Amino acid sequence: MNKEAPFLIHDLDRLRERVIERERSSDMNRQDGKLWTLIKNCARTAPDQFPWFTPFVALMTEDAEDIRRAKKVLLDYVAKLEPMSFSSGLQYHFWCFAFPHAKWSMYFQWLCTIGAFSKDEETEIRETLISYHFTNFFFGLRTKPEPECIDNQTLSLCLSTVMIGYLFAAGEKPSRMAEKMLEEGLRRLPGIIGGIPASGYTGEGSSYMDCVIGPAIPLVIELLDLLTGERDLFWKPFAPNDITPEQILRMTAREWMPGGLLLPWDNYGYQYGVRAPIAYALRQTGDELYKRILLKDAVWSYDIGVGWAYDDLVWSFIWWPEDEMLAENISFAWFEPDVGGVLTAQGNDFYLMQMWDESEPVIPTRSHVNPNAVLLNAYGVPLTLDGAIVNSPRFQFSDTWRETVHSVGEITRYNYGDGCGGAHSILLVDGWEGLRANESYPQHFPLRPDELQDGIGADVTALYRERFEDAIQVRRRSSVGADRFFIIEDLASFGGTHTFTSRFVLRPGAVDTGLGFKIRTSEGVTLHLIDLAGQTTVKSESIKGAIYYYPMDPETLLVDFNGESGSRLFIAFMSRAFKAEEFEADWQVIHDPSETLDVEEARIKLASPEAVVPFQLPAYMECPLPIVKRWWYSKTVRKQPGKAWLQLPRGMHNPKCWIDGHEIELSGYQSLLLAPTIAVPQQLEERQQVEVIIRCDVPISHYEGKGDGTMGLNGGVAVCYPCEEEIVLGATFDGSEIAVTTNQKEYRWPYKRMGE
Amino acid sequence: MSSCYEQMEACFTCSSDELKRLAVDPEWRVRFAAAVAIGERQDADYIDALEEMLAIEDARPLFTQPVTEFVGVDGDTSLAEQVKPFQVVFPVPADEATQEAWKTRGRVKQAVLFAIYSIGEANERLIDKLHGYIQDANQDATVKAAAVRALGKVGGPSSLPYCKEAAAYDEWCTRVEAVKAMGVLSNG
Repeated sequence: MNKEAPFLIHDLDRLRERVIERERSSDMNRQDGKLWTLIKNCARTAPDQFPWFTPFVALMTEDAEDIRRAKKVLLDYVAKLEPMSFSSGLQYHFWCFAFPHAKWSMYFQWLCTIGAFSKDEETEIRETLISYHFTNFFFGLRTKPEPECIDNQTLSLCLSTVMIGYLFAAGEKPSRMAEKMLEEGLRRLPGIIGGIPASGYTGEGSSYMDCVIGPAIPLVIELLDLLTGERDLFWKPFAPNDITPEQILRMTAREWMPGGLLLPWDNYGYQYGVRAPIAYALRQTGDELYKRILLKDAVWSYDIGVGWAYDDLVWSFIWWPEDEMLAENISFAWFEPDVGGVLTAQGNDFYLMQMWDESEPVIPTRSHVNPNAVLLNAYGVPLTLDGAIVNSPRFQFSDTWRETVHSVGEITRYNYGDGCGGAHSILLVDGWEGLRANESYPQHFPLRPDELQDGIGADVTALYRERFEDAIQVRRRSSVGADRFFIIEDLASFGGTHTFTSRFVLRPGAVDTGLGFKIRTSEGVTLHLIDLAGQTTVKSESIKGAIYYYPMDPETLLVDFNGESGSRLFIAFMSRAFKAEEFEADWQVIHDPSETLDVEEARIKLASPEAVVPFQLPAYMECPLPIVKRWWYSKTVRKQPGKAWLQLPRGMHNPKCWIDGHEIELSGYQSLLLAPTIAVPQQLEERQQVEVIIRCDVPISHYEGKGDGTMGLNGGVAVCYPCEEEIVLGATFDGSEIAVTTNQKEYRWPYKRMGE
Repeated sequence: MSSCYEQMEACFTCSSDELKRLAVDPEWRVRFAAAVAIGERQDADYIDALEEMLAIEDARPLFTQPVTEFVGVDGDTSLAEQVKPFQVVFPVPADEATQEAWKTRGRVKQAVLFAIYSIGEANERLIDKLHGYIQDANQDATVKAAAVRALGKVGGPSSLPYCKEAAAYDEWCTRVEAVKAMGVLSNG
């Protein structure tokens, strides 16, 4: 093992200088300064709850206590290895354990460079790390068929095997096992990168793309750089698909929607995005898209699980660009002929994503059956719930049950119906919600540029033809009208008579207009869907208590536009009823370690607060305060007389809120991904200022998400005021022009339908 | 006396006789390393040793681990990210040999089967054993996949029905290896 310099840290002295610079108060407004504060506070105050931060803090400070804490964590990690062998996780899902093992091996090397261990300790730990990887993860890598297996699991196993190999094959006491692992891993790694499809999307959904593939790519580049001496690997095409690491990271960035949630693409629904790979990509490219995401959309609360580790914030700091940055409002639009595309209007206020990536034949677990599904978002608020519902009886079809071994000694029976077509915003034929492929074949074909016009879309006939032999063509094209609304056109031609359903899976909040179907979300954002072809009947179904990987709303709407003609022309018109101002700063805060205070007791204590904080992260992440679960905040908030709302932080657990002593009902706000927006009580509307007291619980460790990433307080409090909602009064298509009349304006947009 | 780690390391540098001795070492980790090292050497002289290794593994109480409780942590895959002390509680008492067998599962077998693949030769008894692994409901997918991969190299026409059976198995890696093996064996 080489101990001259910490692995993958290019310039240790400069990094330490940055830490010192950021610790100066004048630099604390910079995001990397805030990150360092957060990481250091957590590592020092609660190292057992935030172990993943400890090695970096020790490396930066070389403080004896920081080193002692990090050393204890490392020894705890080594101590868990043998008992961990009895877990079904290690035995059946070894890739989840390989990546963190490689990370801890790297952190062991970091700690060795600052003399954390005695000679004997070093030897024992090194031998344990090597032999454990060899028997568990080198074994695991070899289970993956070569070259067919290209996914997050193989990348995790292969990258970690190369990392272990590199760390321990050379330098002091070189290991032959490590040498073998390095050789085998290095032989496979470039092919795994190059085997990722040219779009950059592995087909495994945002979760695996962003939480495993994305965080792995910078490490792959850095490692291959060290091993091969090649520079510019970030831009190098890897065979066989000639894909560059830049394209892969760009796809992870494209999965971010305005507002900071990832696309609910394929299996896991909405979740927060991972930041370190974006920071790395920004450092490499200077590209405005990465900058915009980091500065405007990224959520900095806690550590999202990355490759089954919780060190995303550490690597975000390491790779954070040196220069101060300002974000431009760059467009989120993109188009990849093989997988999907995004349209935006009014900057990024209105957002539509359409997908046509291949689904997994036979059992669509990860790669859902979502041919030409559309996802909608306005003002950073998601409007559709496509693909997010899991384990709901509504989508458990009789022929989609499967038994599999997930755990030692246990056979798991589960239903994969939620991966089938019916749970997505697509076209259904004869009501068959179990739409899926039973054989492998190309499931989509591109539309010609003259067919696309300025839109996005694909021909997905093949997937339907497997069951409906008379299917002639099934297409959807989406486009932007007048930079104000989206046009979604369905065209289904079949030889025989069928019933066609254009389904939209929406968030709740139905509004009766007598025209199409409209929702208004709890954030005040509206979506109005109108079929201009006018040959459909609209039916909606509410699924109550739908289960999501990450909770959203207590209800989901399936909105079906039914008819015998397969030709539809929708407009999707979005607006909002109120708008948030800037976040309110300077909140008085106290902690409530016994969780016993009532609002009156809290009010008294808040008069002499423990700190004044921005209230955009848990208080202990914003300044050096104890790490406890329960917190109380207060502020006299100035407002304009009249109707107003308060937008509260996202991710609050067990929140309660009082406005001038009136308790506001928050029990309906279960989602950790959406910001609760509450109306100021009517009797207080004319006030120019109100006292706001908020109580909430926050996670106190990396692990409270129980393996799904830890989510907690983020965002901030903002006052919202009414804005005039643009309401559609009428919409028509006369064969060549779409006309939309609203309460504010009349839009006319020339339009040529598909097939004409 | 050498430590387990030192013996694992020695597998990659030792003499042929020493490697054969390490291949039947009482410690499974050493046997695993020995199988990997034999695969590297690609020498049919090790066929008997590999057969003996499979016999040792077959005699162990594999794949019978009961559902185990983990006290102090969340079990399953979330254990990957957790770094804190915890306790393992078995619902029934298990001696050390049994516990080691639970840790091993199909690891040594897989390494032996890959070594057979690398060597590219096998006797009839070994081929029968590979057929048996594919049909044995108690074998892990990692063993079935390795067995069918090896059959693609050392099997004959009689292996085709077993490969076909593996191709229908509900595990992706095994199916992929089976389809590849069938392609090779069908083309003579």
